[in-house]
Amino acid sequence: MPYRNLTNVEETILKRSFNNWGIFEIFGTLRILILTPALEALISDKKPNISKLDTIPNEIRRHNSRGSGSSSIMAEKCNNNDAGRFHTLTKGYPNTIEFSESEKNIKRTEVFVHSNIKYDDMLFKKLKPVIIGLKIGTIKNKKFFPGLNFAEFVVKHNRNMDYPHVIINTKAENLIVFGRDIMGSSILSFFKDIKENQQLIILNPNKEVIGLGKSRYSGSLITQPNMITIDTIQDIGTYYLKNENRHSKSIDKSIDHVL
Amino acid sequence: MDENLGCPVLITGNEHSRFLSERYGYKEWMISRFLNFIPYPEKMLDYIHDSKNLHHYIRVNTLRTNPQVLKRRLGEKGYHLSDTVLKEVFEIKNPSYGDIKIKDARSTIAHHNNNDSNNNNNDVATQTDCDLPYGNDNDHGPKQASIGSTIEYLKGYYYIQDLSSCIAVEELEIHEGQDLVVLDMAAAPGGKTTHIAQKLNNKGAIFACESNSNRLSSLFFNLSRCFVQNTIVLNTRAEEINELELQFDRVLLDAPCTCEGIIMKDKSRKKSRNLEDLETCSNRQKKMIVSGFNALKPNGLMIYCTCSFAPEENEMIIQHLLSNRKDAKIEPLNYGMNGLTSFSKYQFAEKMVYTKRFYPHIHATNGFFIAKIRKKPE
Repeated sequence: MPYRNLTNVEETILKRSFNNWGIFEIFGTLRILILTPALEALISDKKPNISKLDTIPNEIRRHNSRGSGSSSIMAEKCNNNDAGRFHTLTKGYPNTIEFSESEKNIKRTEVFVHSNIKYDDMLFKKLKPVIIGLKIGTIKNKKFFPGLNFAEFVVKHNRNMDYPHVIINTKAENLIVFGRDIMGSSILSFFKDIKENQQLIILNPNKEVIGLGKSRYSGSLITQPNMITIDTIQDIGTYYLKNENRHSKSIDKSIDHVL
Repeated sequence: MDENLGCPVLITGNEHSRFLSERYGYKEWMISRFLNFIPYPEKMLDYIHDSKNLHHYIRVNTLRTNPQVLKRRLGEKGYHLSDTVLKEVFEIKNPSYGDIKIKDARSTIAHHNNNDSNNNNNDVATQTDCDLPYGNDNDHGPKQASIGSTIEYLKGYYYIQDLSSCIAVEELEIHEGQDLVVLDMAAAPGGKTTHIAQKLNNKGAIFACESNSNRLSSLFFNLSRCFVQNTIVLNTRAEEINELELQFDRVLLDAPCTCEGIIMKDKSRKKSRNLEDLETCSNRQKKMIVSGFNALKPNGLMIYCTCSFAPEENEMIIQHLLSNRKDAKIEPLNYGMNGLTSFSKYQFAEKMVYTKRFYPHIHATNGFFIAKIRKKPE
């Protein structure tokens, strides 16, 4: 599972998101890394047709991962001694034609934040870490989907609360951490410009993040009683229960050492 | 000093050890060993036998909140928190146990802080060493929700962790905001790793190693829950850390062990281990401590700890290191009871008294062992 720096496209996506949530000023203070999960595409034994990439000097391939988007990622992989890991999609095409995996076909990338800026990419490549820092969200189809930790950054740095949010009562808080949705009558206050189908942060009466949701209605319609007005997308309760099991399956278990 | 620190020591049992093993459900070889080096062993067995003597502690995550704020919030929810020797660690006294007298952990630790004269603390509670905390009142109050089910827990405001484990990290001498590079050699599920992170205030860097990939997810989610940003997790054997060619200011080795010290929480440990396990653990611990020490920078500090009573996993491991590395120096610790200077036929270095042991019936914690080792400067 390789970690890498942001590409130009990803940087733009994230900057836009940070700006939309009102915390653009902290973007430059965070060291953001991308984790691309391993793909399940067919792996070809033949070297792919990447003549253009072959001409890129090794130094630039290694250190300029921001420079040219998908080609820079492929350049790193070409330079990797483990050439068999290079992915090509050959299914459904004649054997003479080979395609390189472009970044747009990578379904999902995970965004991590790390507070230390001393260690460079070469060290991370050598160490092959499983996790670096704190996961704040995912990028999928050129859109950033924030996670609970990103919401924490928003709440901490956007003191004016100038972001889509609702504050719910204690009873609803205790239900949400079991994955329940939000009834309109549970909402104590809400962001004035809330729109239909908008992602928002769910806060408890202490203005602490307890989840992320999506509004079914706009404006004051969100407080209609006796009906669900916000769908809970993520909450601090089920996040740590559901995903823990899912995550443990994706980790390479071939190097277990039982005492 | 005996250099041949090899096999586990088997001590011949007698009628008394057989009686105790039957009474408390242990393997006899464990009891016959306990009788030889644990202070007041019968009282310890009796103490461990009663699960009501189990103490619960939480460590406040200062990356997310303030200890006094959390104390107030949990107090409003009906949890009774009392102070301990560490300002960010509280003991939870479950109100559903009514009037059962549980020893105050702060006074207990201070009272038995390896002083023969016990004259350091003026506010020590007037209790004998092994007061058994039975109450006469059987009136149980309303059942309190589990301390692991609160919103504050889910938000990472605290970590449920024994006091002895917190003391181990406290002894690493990490001051707030220091730009240190720390290695945690056996990190999962992340109690000590998150503690180190809060000590560093998310500065510096922590390299957290865990060889068992089944345990990585718990480590990942605890780090996330506690909002730790300065940790790099490696799925690697701690013995192979030197291959990474990194050097660290601090190394924490909470070595995998036979876990005799947590029998109170896991009764299966009374019978689940045998002498071969003890030998396997001991051999592995010897390799790990040498690897960890090799990864230290000159003048760096290492904490070695286990939740075991066995000298083969404790003093013998330290002795193994001292015998193999002349630049290793044991330093004194602030809490606990002196380590053993001898066990059966084995004699240890004089400075082994600087290592510390914790016993449930004396310190109101898990059974624990801590050693602090400095790498002498070049």
